[in-house]
Amino acid sequence: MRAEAFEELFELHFDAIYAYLARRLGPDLARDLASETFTRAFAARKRYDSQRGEVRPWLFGIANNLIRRHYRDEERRLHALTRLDVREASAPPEEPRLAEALGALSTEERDVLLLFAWADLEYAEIATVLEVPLGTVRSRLHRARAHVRAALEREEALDG
Amino acid sequence: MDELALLGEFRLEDAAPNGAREHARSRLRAAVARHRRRRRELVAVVFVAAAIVAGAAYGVVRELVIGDPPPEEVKRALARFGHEAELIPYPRPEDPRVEDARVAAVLESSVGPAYLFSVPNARALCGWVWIEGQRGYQGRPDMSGVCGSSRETFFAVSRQLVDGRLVRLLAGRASDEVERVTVRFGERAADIPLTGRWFFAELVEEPTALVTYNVAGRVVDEHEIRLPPSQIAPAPQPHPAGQTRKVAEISARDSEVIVLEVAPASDGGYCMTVHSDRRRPNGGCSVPKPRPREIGVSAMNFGGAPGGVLLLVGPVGSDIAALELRYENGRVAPVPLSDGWAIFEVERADYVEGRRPQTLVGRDTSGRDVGAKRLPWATAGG
Repeated sequence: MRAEAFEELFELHFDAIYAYLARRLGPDLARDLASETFTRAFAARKRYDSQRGEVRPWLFGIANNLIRRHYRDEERRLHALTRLDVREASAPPEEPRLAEALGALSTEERDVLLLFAWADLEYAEIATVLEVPLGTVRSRLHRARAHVRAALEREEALDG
Repeated sequence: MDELALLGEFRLEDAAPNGAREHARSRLRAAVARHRRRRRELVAVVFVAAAIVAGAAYGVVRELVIGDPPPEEVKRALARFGHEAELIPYPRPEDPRVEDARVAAVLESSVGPAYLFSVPNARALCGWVWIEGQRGYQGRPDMSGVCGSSRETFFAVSRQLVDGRLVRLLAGRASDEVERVTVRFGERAADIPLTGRWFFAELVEEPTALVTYNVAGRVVDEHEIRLPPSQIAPAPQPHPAGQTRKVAEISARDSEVIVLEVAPASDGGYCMTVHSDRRRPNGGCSVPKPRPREIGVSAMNFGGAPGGVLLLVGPVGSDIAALELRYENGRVAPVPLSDGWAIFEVERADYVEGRRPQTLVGRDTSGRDVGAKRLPWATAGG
């Protein structure tokens, strides 16, 4: 892939990559990691096999690998969001509960769920990103959704 | 309740790029430009290599990314901040754990790539800053560091002249509860992005304060940044204020003649130089004048590890007429004094545990102990 073509790819996909990173890790960290995703992709562009499929899962794969180094930051952020006073922060009322539910997921389940929900990737694309079999994606997604649903319903019941 | 619908709304306000695209675009363009430059250099190197068969190439740093270990030359430089530069290494809590060092942040500064390395030690977490290619003493990477507890926000602003340009780099680490870091320049303020818990930025003007906020937008802490005049214009350092004279000379191992010269310093202390014809001189003008019973003699790794000579060198107070060195195995050796100064070689055989020098003891003219100084390798009972 030539440098000019790569700049085009950047313009096409930057917002999606940034949005995914920012929702997972917050805007500050996302700013650097989104940038790093593309500089890494540029450095590795010769290894990218265009026959293998879409460029989008490849970029999300790089971004997700960068997130792995920041799971603790993500958990810290989710924990902070659980304590957020939604009235003061004008956040949706479900936000703390959802943050808590996401924080309680295993990192593997969280990756699958958020690649599905926020990155809009298909099952097969998520399998490519995470380098796991398709069946594993299905089962992790099923478990993650069930956990989040159960946590939300439990909280709702407690709220009365 | 549809959890996917709720997730779809979660932190949507964070998803707007708000300037991140420009930041990333400029970094990507810098990477593309570096790549092109490197290709051109590679072509040149092929021709040069034919003419220069053996040459000491200073390390060419590959493009580092967050989480990478530092390049070897940086690891070596970090190791030298610890005990590895010493002839008798004695691990201390503040020694950098080089094997755990990682790139914490990368910055495309106005003078090229700059790296912030996170380097833990037994007591604290340190951040070391290096502008790629900048080298200091003996060609080693010219680095500056800041250390602190991981429970607190800590930072430093380094100022370095690079090709005549003053480069100010802010480097630090935010405590767990911090969500946002802002630097104030008088009335104005700018956000500094967090990379993990670390932050790293080039400042085009002098900052006045650093403020951190939590996820709810409340101030966590505010640090005023006062620049002592010494940090803007270096304070005058002590310098020789009189005639330099030779006070002692020893014949060390392999017949190396090592000479001690001293001169009065402008701050009332001494300038001291140790030199031989085999190594770079060592010393400086920060040797205080000892009190009458004080032993100002200390260890000097003359030439550094591994091939250097370990010396005990410095002045003693006016009440001290004789000096002796006590070793770990109970031996005692006289340390000759010449006009109130000592220069003494610790033999290689005594670098090993069980034989190491422990304490210097000063005696007055009547032979009475009047002062003692424990050496860095002294054991609890030594």
